[in-house]
Amino acid sequence: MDTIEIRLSGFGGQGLIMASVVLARAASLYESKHVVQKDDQYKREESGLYVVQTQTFGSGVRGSATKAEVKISTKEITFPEVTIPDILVLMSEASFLKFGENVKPTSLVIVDPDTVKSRPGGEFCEIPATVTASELGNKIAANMVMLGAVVAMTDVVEMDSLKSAMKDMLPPATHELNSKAVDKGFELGNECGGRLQVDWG
Amino acid sequence: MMGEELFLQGNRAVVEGALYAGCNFYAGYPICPSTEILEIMSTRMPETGGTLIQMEDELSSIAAVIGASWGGAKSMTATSGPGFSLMQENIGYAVITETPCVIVDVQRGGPSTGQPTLPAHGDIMQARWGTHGSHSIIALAPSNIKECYELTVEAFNLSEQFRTPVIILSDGELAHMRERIEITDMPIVNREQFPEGKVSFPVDPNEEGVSPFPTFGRGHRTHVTGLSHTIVGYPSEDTEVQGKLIDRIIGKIENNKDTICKYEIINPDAKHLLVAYGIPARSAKDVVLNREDFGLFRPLTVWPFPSKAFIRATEDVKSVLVVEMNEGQLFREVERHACRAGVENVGLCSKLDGEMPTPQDILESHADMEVDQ
Repeated sequence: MDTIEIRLSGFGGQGLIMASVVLARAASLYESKHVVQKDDQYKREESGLYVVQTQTFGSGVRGSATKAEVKISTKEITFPEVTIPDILVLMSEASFLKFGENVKPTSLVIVDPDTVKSRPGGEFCEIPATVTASELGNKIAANMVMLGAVVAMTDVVEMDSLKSAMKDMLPPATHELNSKAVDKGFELGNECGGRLQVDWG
Repeated sequence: MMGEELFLQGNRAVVEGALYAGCNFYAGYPICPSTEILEIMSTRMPETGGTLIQMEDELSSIAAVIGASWGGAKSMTATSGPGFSLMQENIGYAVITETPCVIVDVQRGGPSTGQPTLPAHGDIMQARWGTHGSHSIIALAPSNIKECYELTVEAFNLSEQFRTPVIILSDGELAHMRERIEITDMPIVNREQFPEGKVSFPVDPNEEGVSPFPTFGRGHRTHVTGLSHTIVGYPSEDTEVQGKLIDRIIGKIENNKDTICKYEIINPDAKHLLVAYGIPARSAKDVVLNREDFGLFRPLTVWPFPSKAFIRATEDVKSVLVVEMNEGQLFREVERHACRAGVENVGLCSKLDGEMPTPQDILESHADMEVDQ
């Protein structure tokens, strides 16, 4: 696989744009040397990964539909937007209705069961991100629960990279909560059956 | 910061480019999708010793930017379509008073309030002809985050070198997109200053048609007016004075296109030539990297249009397809040059809904042209 396309969709206020920035930053700055297998040997590519993060949101800051996308590739990324995602995270009913069926058979689809009413026809995983974050102290960390789960189920970036990027982007006072949220999401992701092996071969 | 790798949003890259170029004055009024430029500037300006004023509207923002430049600052504002419309009168004032300044237009869907958060390229002609009167203008269109940074540095350099407002045509997609860039060394140009102290006027323009800049407060009398004026700066109703003035301020841009114009050409020998700038150029590049029969001409300098280079690029091509997020604004400029070069098939792939054209959209538009493959 040379490119992986990730789409996170929900409503304004859930922090999905921030989640996409954290994930993209982790892949872009902290995974700068990706490992590829060549002639039975693992070799580090010095060039790093190409990463583009894009976002679409409405005029209302909270409540309107948001879409955040990350493309990660070993090749230059020209068209920056996601067409059909390899990883799809849905956190609102509206996002399910708009993007729920636009997936490949191999795509990993993750829904938050408490914020999405419908369920996809194909395979999917449930990660109760909002409820989990509430239990940890604040539902605002639901986005980081989702990222932890994505990392557990895909290895798209290393956990260390994700946490470094998270600390760059979020206020220090929230680091403890968000760190816990990422760890809890990682646990939930591991418990979930679905997987998508990202291999930059 | 040199050599550092950064993961930046388009709007932040514009700010960092401006600061690298020496921008020390910013005046603006928030408007989506340009707001982050004002926001980020409001923390970066105090850090770098510059001045930021949030003005009451866009009319006063551009006025403050022009005033600051006459006080010796490198000044900038950023806005989007509705605010850009409001700035047009004073952009003309900056043109005739030959005031170096940079205006960033982060384009969104219009007309009027339109689509505040979605991208469009509806201001290409407004950048060229939005202000009244005979004039020329420089406008640059970045396609990626690296260019958001580098073309902002370039915009300041050109504004200083040619004593003219320079417009950066970004858009809502690029403004909020993030990519990794590496900060590299770039040359910085500063305006030629009028000799300090009490000196006699006039000081003749250099061979590029640019006079030294008489900054306020340096010991010589300075007069700035939007009226037609002599080389000394005082108003004149003499028709010869007006003729010479307009000739020179147009000429300093049009006669120096070889210095000003930047463009990219990929697959120069291909049969079909795509012309695209800004964010849609990425889709065009996608087509060109996957199809040997397609080439790309990408003007980084939209105004003045790099006509000589474009005409050379059309040699032996069967068709030209312009890709734009408007109803075909640069299309007319491209079409007339293509016709001059003898290309008969000139088509348009136009996207007007707030989504960027996909590589597939471009190929479908080309198929609609029914050109012999």
